[in-house]
Amino acid sequence: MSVLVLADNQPGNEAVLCVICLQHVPLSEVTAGSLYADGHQAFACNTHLYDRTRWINEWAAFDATQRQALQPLQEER
Amino acid sequence: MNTLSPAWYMDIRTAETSEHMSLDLTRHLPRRLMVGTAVIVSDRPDILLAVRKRWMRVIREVQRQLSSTLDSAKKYELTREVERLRSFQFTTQLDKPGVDALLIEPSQTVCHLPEFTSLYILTPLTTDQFLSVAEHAAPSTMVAVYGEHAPYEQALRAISSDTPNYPIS
Repeated sequence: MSVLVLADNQPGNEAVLCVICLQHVPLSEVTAGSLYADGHQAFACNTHLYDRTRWINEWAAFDATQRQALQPLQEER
Repeated sequence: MNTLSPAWYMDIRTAETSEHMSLDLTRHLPRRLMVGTAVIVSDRPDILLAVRKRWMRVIREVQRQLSSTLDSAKKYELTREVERLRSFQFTTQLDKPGVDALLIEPSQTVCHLPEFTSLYILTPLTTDQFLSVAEHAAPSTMVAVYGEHAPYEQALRAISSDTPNYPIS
């Protein structure tokens, strides 16, 4: 299981941040999740997908953080 | 951060059984429904029933975690999570407005679809069927493929020059 980023200047198998373990891991080892507040794609290691408790807790925390980060951005607009 | 121009995300999934597929989908989908509408292409309409059953289990699991924490920040996060999971609408009806997850059969890829940010391909599609459904993709859409992904990758590479720039963190 892996993620391919299809783009003109494709980065190949570059490392991205896993929002669960906060390690930089290759795209070949991650899955795409929700987005950062600024619209960037967020990723998590595939291995976390089957750790049900951690998967739910950490993504819920991530999404809450992004919602909070979004509030000042929305107020600016 | 790199700026990619333009980008599609292809998430290559593996599932050896339909049980495993519905489990993988049920874990993956909640994150993507945060982003926007998802279209699921499958020739097995019963997958929706399997996903719904698992969805209810996920909600119960979040509720269990919610009741076992005293951390107020975590309580808030998990309360929001339960509310969101309960609010998502699943359907097989093409004309239903405001839907979060739409399950269609391969023959329905030629129909008018809502704009989506996630596409799950559970059943092999022809290139024409894939291109037809991809027309409704929002910028920076994630395409999750269970099974052979090369034909879709080729098709996306061919059409990706028409899409604008999107960043990746």
